[in-house]
Amino acid sequence: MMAEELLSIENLHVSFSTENGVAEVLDGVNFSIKPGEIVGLVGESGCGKTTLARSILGILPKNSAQITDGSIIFNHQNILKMQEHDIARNIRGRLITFVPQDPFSSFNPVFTIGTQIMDLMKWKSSEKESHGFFGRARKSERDKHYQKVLKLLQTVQLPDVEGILRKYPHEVSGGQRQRLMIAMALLSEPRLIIADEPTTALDVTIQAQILKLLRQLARERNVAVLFTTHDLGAAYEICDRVTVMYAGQEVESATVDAFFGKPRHPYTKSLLGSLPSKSGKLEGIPGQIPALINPPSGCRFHPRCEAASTNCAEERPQVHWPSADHMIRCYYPRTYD
Amino acid sequence: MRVLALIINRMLWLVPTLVGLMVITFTISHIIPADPIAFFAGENATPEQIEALRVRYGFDKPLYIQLMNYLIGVTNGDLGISIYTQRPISEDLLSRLPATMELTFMAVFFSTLVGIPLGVFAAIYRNSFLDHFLRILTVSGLAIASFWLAILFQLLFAMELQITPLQGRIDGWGPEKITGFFILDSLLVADWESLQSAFSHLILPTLTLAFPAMATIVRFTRAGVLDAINSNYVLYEQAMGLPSKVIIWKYVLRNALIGTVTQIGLIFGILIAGAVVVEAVFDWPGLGLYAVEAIMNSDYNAIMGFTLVTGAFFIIVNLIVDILHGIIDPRTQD
Repeated sequence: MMAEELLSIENLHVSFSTENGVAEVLDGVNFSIKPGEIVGLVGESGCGKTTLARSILGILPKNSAQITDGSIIFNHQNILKMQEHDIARNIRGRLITFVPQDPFSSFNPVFTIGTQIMDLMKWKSSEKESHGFFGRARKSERDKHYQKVLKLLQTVQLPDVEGILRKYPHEVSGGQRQRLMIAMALLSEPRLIIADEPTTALDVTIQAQILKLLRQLARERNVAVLFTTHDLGAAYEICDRVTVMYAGQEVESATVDAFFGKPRHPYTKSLLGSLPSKSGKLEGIPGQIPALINPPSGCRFHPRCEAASTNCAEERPQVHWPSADHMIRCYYPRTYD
Repeated sequence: MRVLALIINRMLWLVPTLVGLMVITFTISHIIPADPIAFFAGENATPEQIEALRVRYGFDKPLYIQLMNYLIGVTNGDLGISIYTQRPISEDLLSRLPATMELTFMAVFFSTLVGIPLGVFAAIYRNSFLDHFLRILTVSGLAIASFWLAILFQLLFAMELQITPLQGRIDGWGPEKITGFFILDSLLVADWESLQSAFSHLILPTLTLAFPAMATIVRFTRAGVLDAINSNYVLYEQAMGLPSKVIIWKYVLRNALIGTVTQIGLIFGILIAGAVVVEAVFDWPGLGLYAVEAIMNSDYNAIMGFTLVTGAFFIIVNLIVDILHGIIDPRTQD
């Protein structure tokens, strides 16, 4: 089962030093993605989704964040043990690319869109040739890149693609910018796209279009997607599998059907219960997210959990597989007969 | 087209701005109780002779008439006559303008060339030894009075080490006059001896003027780079694995320069004001020295002429800065 994983994270611990002390933002997280699989990483704000995504990309803030334990195996290599030089050249922006949360501020405001895309193409293209210090590419190569970019922009259904390349980021709409971001994530023919809340900043009507597009393109190219979101509806729309995190711990991972149909973990159940339903009753989860400095011991959800017992506070439950594609970490999972 | 519209707009504003500047300078210089005619006429002049001179220079008329006459003269290109040198003001200014411009441009060029990279490094290696060292250097640059720095430079480099001239603009007559800029002229006529002399005379006054200017540029560049480094687009560029040299020297720098370029425009104004002091210390035959003498002698036309020329220069420099600003940051053009 493990052998075919594209990305496999084991026992990942990440801590941030803050003015008030050390926050354990990721507390022994296990997580995996198979080739071509679209996995949703869901949880409330501050649960560690973004930290997990940034750990994979190697762009945690250098001054405050520290990976204290664990491994990130991508394509049979432990990224955490690789030379920064090799990651920058072969992994980041090449085999693993990124779609940011905010397409408004993630474009550099003072360069044309064309400049920014062509630079990515120049440094990250799968058929990259050698360059000088600032990487001035040969003209024949630039033309080849330009044609490829145009084709890709048409693929993400942008109108007037040559015109868009001459525009500055503030001259195109938010939805178009996010389409551009998706195109840019596909430039280097990656194996994995990390999409960090890619639709949060967009209008609801555009959200659905972008999600559909992302799913369709990933499917066509057999690219795996790690999709972080706090929007369960969005996860349901596009994911094959969903992993839930709570306060820096993963608690459950299951296929979309099992996740929404037969949630096992009490937190998942509460989370799904807090969705608006036809009955009009909105149920919140009692209590609040714990601070990550001196968090609850054991399973971090136990102070708010209706099923919790004394052993929940003593030690975190081991990984448990009720079925081959359903993982939970709970002593008292719900059962379905 | 936008650039052309901007230039026309600013040129139209140039006129009322300069008229306002003239009125203020005229008022201030006439409020100071001084009698240039009595000074000019000398101790032995009779009251009748002084009165005759007063009529000749138009000082017998009410102040607002004097101002109107001056402004009318200016529109005809006549800046009046210096009662001190007895030459047309425009000739005096033109003969001295190149010396000040040469000094100012050298100082801006040098401080930009050094200040921008230092600001970038201070931001990249923030809170390192280099950053702290630059902080001390820039605070000193802003705090130290330029006349004092000038004298220290003279003591060290000219008196003690004897590697630069003490003062003056050039040894001998200088190169054949084409533009009045000695460096440029000696290059044009291939007069290497003059070039070397002009250059060595420029070093100390340039350093004196450039030091505080560089301090400003370092601080603004550092702040601009830090702002950009913490932005979402740099996070994105890092996440997509662009080489850090490209991120810093291309993507970050251009954003950081938006603030720096505005400052460079203001620095021109500060440098012209600073030149008044620095030219006095280095005996540099420029506008600053001319202005000092004009004020000492209550030479009204000369004071007005100096203000007019430096005001126009400052406005034009800032027009250029605005155009550059529009080129660097496309968002400002909308």
